[in-house]
Amino acid sequence: MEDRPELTFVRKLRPFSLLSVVNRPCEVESFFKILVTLYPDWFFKRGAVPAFIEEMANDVAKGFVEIDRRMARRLGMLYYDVVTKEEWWKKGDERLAKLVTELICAFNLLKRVAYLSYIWWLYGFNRLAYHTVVRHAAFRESGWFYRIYTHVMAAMVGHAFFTIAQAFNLIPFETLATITLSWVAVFIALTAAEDLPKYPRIRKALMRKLKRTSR
Amino acid sequence: MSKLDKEKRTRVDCRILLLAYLFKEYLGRDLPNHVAANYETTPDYKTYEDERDQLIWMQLIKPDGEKRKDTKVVTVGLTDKGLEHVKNMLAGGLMKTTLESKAWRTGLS
Repeated sequence: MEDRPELTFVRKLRPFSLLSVVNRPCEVESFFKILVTLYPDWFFKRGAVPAFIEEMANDVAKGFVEIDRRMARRLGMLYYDVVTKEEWWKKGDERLAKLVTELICAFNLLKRVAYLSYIWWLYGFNRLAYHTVVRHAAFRESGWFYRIYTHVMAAMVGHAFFTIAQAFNLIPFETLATITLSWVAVFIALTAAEDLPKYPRIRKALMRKLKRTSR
Repeated sequence: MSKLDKEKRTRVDCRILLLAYLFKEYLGRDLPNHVAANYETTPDYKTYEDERDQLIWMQLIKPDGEKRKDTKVVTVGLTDKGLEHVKNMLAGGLMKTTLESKAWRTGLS
């Protein structure tokens, strides 16, 4: 860890550390790279918070397109001289290509952290709001974990709807069960159709079919 | 020097040192001059050049003088002292306004 101060730095960052699911060194390193590429000017403290947190929050307040623009400008910087418009990079530069690929991959993570910074910037002053609103926002930005959470929430809302409908005798139980089962069946069928091409045999069969129809 | 000017200079210091670190660590090369001095085309880019020269004088970065035949771009690279400074900064949190202090500027700290 001593040799990699950037990992220590990023892990200590408050909005980033709230995203507990992002912890792998490669992700942390990619995040550092994109942070330095997009906000290199703001690595100092302005008041209580780091200046780049404020900058990210400002960008999110203006709209995510602002961060997109920043990204476009910085990628251009890696390839061209902004003053003379001269192309300075070496052709076939694999390291640069690798860096740019990593930056693009980490861009989504940066947007999530920027959004969290925005919420933290707005509510972080209040301890109660920090432990409720900001932590919930962090949970929302935690990716797949939040997807499970939304599914559980949807199931609970559905359950509540069924209970109320049953309590007031609004719909017969059989109708509700039929609607639910058909909905689930359609969902499973569509998901399976999307996922089947992952299997090589099925993919080949589909490709053959595609070729036959395109002739 | 006004507070705004001080902040501007700190920003330029941060930018040059961190981008030089990124280029050195992950691309294995020095920072092109246009990134160091004329990062964005703004009317006060002369100030950026002054600040870059100041960092060179403080031996945090060094002009490489390497000219590529195709582009004629001069680069600036991070010195060992500069590398150590950036690493300390990252390990300790954020860039303090050390570069503003007189002691640092005269190379005493």
